[in-house]
Amino acid sequence: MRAIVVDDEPVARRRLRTLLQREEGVEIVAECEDGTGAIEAIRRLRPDVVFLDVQMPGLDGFDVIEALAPSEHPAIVFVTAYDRYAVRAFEVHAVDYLLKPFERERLRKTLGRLGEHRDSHEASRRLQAAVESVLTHRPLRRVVVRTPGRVYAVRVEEIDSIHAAGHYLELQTATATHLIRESMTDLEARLDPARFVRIHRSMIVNVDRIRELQPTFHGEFIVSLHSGRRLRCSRTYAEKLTTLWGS
Amino acid sequence: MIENRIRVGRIWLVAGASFTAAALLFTSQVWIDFAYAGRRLSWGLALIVALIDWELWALLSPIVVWLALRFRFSRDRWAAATAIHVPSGIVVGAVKLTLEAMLTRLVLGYGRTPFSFLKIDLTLLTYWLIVAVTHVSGHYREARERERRALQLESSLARAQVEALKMQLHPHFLFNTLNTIAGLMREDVEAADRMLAKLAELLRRTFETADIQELPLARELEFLDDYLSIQQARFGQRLQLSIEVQELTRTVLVPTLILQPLVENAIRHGIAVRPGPGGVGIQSECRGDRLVINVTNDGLPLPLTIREGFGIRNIRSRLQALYGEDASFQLHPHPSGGAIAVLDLPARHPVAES
Repeated sequence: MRAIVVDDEPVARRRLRTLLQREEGVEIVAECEDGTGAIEAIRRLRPDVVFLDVQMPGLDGFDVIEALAPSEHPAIVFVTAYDRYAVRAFEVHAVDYLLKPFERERLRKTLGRLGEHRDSHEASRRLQAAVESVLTHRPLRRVVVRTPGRVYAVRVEEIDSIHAAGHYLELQTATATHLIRESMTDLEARLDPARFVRIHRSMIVNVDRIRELQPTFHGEFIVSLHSGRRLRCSRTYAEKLTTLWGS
Repeated sequence: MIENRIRVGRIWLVAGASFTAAALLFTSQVWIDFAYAGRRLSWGLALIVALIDWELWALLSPIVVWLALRFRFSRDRWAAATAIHVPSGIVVGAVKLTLEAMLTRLVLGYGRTPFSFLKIDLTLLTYWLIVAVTHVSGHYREARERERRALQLESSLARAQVEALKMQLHPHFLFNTLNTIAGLMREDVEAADRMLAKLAELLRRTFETADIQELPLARELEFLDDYLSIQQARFGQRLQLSIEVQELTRTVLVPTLILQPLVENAIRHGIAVRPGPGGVGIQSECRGDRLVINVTNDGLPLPLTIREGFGIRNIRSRLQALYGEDASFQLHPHPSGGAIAVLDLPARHPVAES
């Protein structure tokens, strides 16, 4: 069995390698320290199995799966220290995973399952379902903007505030305004509730971009952002904003 | 601003109500005074004369309150305050009595009779009473303010401790650290042993939260050391640490746990979110009577590396509570990419216990 080990922490990579080398019939063909390297190695080496760390800088484990075509999917064993979204999805879709630090017995069991005759088409389908489920359930990381000329992504941490404008939403960043066709409620549901908060019927703000809150009369707030922009938080949303900002 | 306006409004309300109550009480006194002088007033007119007497104080009291706040009777300035308040009491009293006489004459057609020295005494007494009430309520407010600040300090320290605890007990950090120890056990038993001890030390300290607001920088750095060596073991060559601590800064007092959120932030943005090696630096130096601490990371060359999380906001509020305007904290993009956090504090040393 030809295997690739992907993890951004060197000791974690070495541990997995040491454990795998003791098992019969496992050959490690590459070790990668990030997602980009993993995609390249998988395409080039066509391994049978990839031990794929979930949390990695840059492209993470799920981005790697998304970037590959289903025909390129090797068997995948996800490895994670802690990720409540992911583990639930792995369970539901019967995708192999290991929780760090794992026992040798657990690794053996996983390898045993991989050795059984498996329908690779079916495995790839389950893998895609799991990844899709994680990507839709965990908070949005980027918003895709479509213009007649091009399609590009805005990272959510760059967004200062979001404003409703008719059938569109305006995403305000420090340097630009992007228009997307989506409803306030739909976007709000997919954003990280610990970071984005509704401050008005037609406004959402990124709490990390708030510099100051000034109370005014009637329980409203003036919200000053680092960019210098000032927004008004209506009374209905004031309590949620102050708890979130102060937590 | 708003709070001030509310306070001024409330003072006016309380003063107006008190003086009106005094006027009601003194109505019978006015009636008797006039009766002794052989003039019978109706109770309504007696009330009006009493109102003229006391509501004039409501008009004049802002001036007296202002004077009382401006020239206060503190231990070292009571002589100066007396020198101001004796003549100003006489002037305010004279103005008040003149206005009162004119208004009373306007209403009754004749002045208030008999004009006794008792009236002058009472006028001066009222002036000093307003000064005294202002003085006492000022003291009361200051004591309340001190109490509020002490409470705020306490709560922001508690929050910093909770943040530190969350950082050390963060499942991702904890399980990855355990995994690193598991890996090291097969390669280098000594290193695994050391790391386990450091993790234990880190966890132990989070359970022993003391109520100490400030401690010497050297102690704060010791606290950081366990955390940093664990991160160093996890990330290996990817984490390039540089710590430059000027020797004479080691004894300077810094707020407890002030550096932890900064260093955690630097590692998260400098190392954990991007591939390849990254540097995290901590520098401290004394500039005159100031202590300046920089925490830098060479993370993504974008302003988004600045995430003003709760830890950062708590730093600001603790500095404000401990030093007022005498300390500053800035977080901005580094010219060469990444971010730099600058703490600027008064360089204070622990008082030697005798």
